[in-house]
Amino acid sequence: MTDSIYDQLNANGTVGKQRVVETFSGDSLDTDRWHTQQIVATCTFAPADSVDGGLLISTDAGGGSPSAYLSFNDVCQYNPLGFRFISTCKKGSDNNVGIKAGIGSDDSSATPAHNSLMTAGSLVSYRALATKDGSTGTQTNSDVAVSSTEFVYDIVGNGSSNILSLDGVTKVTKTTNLPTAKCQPLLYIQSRSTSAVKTWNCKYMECYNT
Amino acid sequence: MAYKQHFIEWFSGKQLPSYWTGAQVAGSGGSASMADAIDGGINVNSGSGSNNSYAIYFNNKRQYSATGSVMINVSKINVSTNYRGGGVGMSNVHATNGNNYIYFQNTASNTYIKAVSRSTSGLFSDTSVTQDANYHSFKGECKSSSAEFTIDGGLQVTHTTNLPTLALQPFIYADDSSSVSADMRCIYCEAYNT
Repeated sequence: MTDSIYDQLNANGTVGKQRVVETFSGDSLDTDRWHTQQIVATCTFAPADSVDGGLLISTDAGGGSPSAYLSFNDVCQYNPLGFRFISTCKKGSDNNVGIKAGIGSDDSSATPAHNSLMTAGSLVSYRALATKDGSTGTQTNSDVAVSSTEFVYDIVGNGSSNILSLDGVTKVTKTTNLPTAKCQPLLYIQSRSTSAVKTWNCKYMECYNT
Repeated sequence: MAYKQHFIEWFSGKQLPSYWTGAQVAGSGGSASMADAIDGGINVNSGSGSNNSYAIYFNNKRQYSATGSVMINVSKINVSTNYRGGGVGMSNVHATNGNNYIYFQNTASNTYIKAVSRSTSGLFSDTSVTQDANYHSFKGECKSSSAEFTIDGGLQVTHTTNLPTLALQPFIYADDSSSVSADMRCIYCEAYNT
């Protein structure tokens, strides 16, 4: 077997495209890579001191829907017409938490102008794929109910569709309102309904152009 | 088999990681910053003016063997005109003069991308890959008695003389020989000892 990671990821003779792999393991978040964009109040992104904890994403305890992104500070290197985003999600015990993660064109509002995001919020009963094409945003539910069970999700965009898979099974295929502008990885949290700390954990994120 | 030093850089995120050092090798005004573009990677800019050069490297922390190591880099020069260009490889110090190194020279003043190695004097060899502004995968391997230069999966050049003898570090540089600055874009860098 080759010693090269590159040769394991790319067929011989092909030129690799932009990729990032984040394992969220260490004494602090890599702030060279990641930017914390507060939307409402203050949320935190810090390594969890627990087995398989990864990154612990938390809101503050206040009302008014505290919310924030983890982003690349709008450095957008990923192609919505040919990308793959793979990550993990484990909701905290409180279900009054909105979660979105995937790729988006900006981190300045709760809904980026162009995006393709897995959602596992409290306003819907099922895990879903949300997309927005610069003007219109729509969401399609899967048949997997929202819960605090950890899962792996995978979003693939190829220019004609965006496909969400959950734990390796294709669940949603969207062909309308797909993003077209360059994007960055995004992880988002929003507290809903109750005044308490809301959390979710992420221990892996990979994004690459195809 | 014992694990050996291995390094991977994706050049994706809000800024260049702090384990890289940027240095103006010649002239002034150079920089290294993430490119806000699809497949943008890191943009190493030479600085504007004539004969400027800027490099990123490991601040002379040389962990890679001159007689048993591999460097893989996916990069391009952003504009293929006006004698602008740069290079990717491994060197003993960040500059490409008076140094021990192997690298690929991708400069618009050349017809072909060159393979370069040096101990006390440099050896420059044309590859068969025409110089352009497209991304290529570059692989340089230092062996005990040779250096191999591979582009896009095809072995291009083997040097058996003018080989580096001192320990190496990854480096990426941009330089210009005109009044217009040069940009070197890089989306991947891997280095390991064999």
